[in-house]
Amino acid sequence: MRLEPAREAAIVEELAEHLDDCYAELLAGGATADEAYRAALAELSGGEALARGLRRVERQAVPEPVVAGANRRTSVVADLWQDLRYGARVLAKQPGLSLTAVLMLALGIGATTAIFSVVNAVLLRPLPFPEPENLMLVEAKGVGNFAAPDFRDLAAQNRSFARLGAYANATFNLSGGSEPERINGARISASLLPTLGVQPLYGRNLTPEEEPEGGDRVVLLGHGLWQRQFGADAGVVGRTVRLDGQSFTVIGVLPPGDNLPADKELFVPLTLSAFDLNNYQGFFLTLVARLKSGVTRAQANAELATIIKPGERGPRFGGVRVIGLQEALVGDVRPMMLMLMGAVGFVMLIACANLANLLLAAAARRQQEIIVRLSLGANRGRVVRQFLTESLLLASLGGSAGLLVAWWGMALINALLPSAIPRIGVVGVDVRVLGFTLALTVAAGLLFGTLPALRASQTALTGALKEGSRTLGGGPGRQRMRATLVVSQVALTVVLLTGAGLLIRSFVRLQQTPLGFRPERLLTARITLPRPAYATPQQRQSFTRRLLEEMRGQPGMQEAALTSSLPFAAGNPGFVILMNGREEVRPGMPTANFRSVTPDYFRVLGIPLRRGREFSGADDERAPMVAVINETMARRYWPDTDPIGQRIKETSNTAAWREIVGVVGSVRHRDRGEEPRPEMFVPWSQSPAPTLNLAVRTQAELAGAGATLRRAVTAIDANLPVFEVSTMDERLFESVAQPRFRTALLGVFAALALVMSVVGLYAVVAFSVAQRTHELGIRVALGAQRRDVIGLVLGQGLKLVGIGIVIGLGGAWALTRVLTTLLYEVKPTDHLTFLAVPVLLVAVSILACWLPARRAAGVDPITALRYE
Amino acid sequence: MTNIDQRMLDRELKKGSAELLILSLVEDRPRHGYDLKRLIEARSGGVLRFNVASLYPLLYRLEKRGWIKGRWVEKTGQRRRRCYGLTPEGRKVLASQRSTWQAFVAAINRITGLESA
Repeated sequence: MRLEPAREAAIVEELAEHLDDCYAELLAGGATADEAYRAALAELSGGEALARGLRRVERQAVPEPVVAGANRRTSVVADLWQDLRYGARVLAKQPGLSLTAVLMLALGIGATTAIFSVVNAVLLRPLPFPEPENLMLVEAKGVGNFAAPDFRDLAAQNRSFARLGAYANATFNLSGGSEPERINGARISASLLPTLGVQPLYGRNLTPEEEPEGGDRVVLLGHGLWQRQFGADAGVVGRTVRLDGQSFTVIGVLPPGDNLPADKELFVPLTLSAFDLNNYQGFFLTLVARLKSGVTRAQANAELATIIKPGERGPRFGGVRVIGLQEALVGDVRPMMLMLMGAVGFVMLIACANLANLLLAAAARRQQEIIVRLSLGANRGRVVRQFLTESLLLASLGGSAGLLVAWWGMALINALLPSAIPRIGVVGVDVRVLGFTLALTVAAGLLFGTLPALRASQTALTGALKEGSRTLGGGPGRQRMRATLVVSQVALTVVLLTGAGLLIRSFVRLQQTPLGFRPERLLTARITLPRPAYATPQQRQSFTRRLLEEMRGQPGMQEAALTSSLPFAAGNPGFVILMNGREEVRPGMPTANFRSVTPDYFRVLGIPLRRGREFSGADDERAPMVAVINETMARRYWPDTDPIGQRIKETSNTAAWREIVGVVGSVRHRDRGEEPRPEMFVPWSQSPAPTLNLAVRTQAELAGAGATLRRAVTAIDANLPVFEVSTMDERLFESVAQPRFRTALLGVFAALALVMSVVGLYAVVAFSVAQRTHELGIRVALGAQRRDVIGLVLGQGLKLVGIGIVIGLGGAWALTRVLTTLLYEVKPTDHLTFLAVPVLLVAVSILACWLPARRAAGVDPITALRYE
Repeated sequence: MTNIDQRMLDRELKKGSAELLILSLVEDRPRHGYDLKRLIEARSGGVLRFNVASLYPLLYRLEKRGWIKGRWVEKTGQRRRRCYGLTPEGRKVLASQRSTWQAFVAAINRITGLESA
């Protein structure tokens, strides 16, 4: 009618009331629903005359002037603006519905956006290097890293790479900055930065001349280190710093942001000694390559196989291939990311189903309004457009609120995120995330709005609907649709709850897995003895003896021991093990992890002795070479004989034949979910490592134990930083950070889904009760007891839940298989979980249906029969 | 109803009296549209019927003139309804129209011989 939206809405509402009154009066007078319906519609049979009459009386909104040559878009824009204003008015008139809808959307969109921002940061954001799609990690199958001769041969012989670079992890004691600090760094080839396409922010890159032994000692600073230790001074280039007691000249500063290698702050030349260049067993180099333009991965792999053949580089080396660098960095966490994205997608679908239900109920109440509009000349498309506009308006309000929820969600995720997730940096909103939120908002609006809009527009004028209700709205068709939506929500919730339940059970199992040692009140720290001051074994021995004496003398520190490699700490070297005097190395030979430990080590950590003896003070550098192995190694390599007395030798630089004198219990060293590996231990005095891991058992939970430890070290050598000071409990907590993260998130989503589904179920049952008031009144009048009515209503609700549970369990059976790699000692079809979830859902659903059931049982038959 | 010419009623007679009907029905208390329609039908014994196309434009016209005023009234458990009540201006117009109508009917009766002897 082209009136002001407010006035048009008021007229439509008034006429709709007139129709409803007419219908109700006819029904009360004995007409059938169909007869009453037709008679009520007949009131509007003079629709054209009505519209004419109204137009004569009302002041019309001025239409947009039609200018010759102007396109139809301007009138569409005017219509849209009208629809928006009308829609805003409709939403304002239903504050309860609108607020519920916006809240649900905010939660759904917010959670989805927060997870997407993580996925974006980790998986989608391209590496910050030029043409990142050509950057490859060269992978050595079976060993992971490469030996120096491999790097040399690949660099010389390949035709597929434009450039090839290499790096090795290294840590340094830095002094010459604001304070001494232990720095994670890397030794890099001069070709690494050009391969990546990184230019220093200040200064220059390394040159090939600086690589060989005896070349200039130069260093590149990482951006964070430059800011922290050197006050972001642009004049730092040319300054001297001391690394492990030796002087290095700063030649450049790297730019900020994602770098490779990740988390490294300091870079020195990769100096390869003559020994390195001939040692085919020392796998310590990571290789990064840039493919030549036009060369595919398959072509590169084929060429690499001709340069380094499988098996020719030692028993563990399985061949060479390239994989995308981004894929290599994040491939491990991809399943978890995709699982979380899928889970939050389910939550979004449940929110949309809930909203569709709410809007269907609201549309039912607006049935008369739709009839009036259609008879006043609106066409079906216009009605659909109006409803969709209202949905999109709701969705955009929800989307805006959702961004706020996402922001909080990201703050929470940033606090919980395991640092072990690669590329994570700081999760935040960028253009891609905003674009995703916008697309999600529009999609949600269309998803939950289309069904009610189409349903509303199918109304009425055709008279094809055989409605059996007391008002023009509601009826079997709509009830079925609402029931279907509830069933879908329940099914989706079952899948989420099952997934969460499986992860929770898996996490609990993981936490209960015996470690093989006692972690409580165990303080740990790491010290690296730098070369010049501690080059000889005697120097290192002297330091360690003094350190242990210092530690044992501290109050509250009962026992102290040293090892080259602690459980749940970095560093876990392994070697091929030779046995029985045979020196040749063949493929498939036994391997074991290698540790050198002080005599008290097993006692301090609480590792039980199974056979033979532990080390003692007599097992020093002058005594016969001995070793202790763990149970796993004993069972695997001497299944039928006693390993005590056997002779073994590890293939390291300083190997010696050793006699096995004891067998100790096996320890889970790296991952609670991993089976213990074969381990061999040698006495510290016979193989003192340059990196010490200190383990101290304290008498009570000592605050300040870390500071005491540092003081003890400083008392011996003031230039030695102590790093990675933490308790074993903290390390264990950190080691399960990823499982904890994904279990917590999936649990939150499942809980959210449960709440939404229960709200949806309540709404549908409550609406149904309101619709059936007349019928329930008749039943009570005919003698139905309170409990019969309650049973009827509960039965209706639980029937929907039951169907949803059956469908959901089927879906869970199929889908939880994707969780297999994430579960520990729990099958994806775990019976207990599949039983507990339906029980929980039924219990909660009974609560949801209870209130409407009680209301139904309280219906007064007389009031009900006089209803409408 | 057998002697009533419906066309004459709808086109000529109803038009002149419609405003008077509405104003007099809302004189005692405010009423909504459907209520007015029912009352007219009931009190006229079914002779006079208003449908939506004639009733509501009339109501809105009277409202625009300031003779009646519409107000949304909401009772507990019911949807809100727009009820129309007489304004002071409307009361004056009603009184004037009543006396005009009475005079007109009396004159017609005298001419057509319908007045009682």
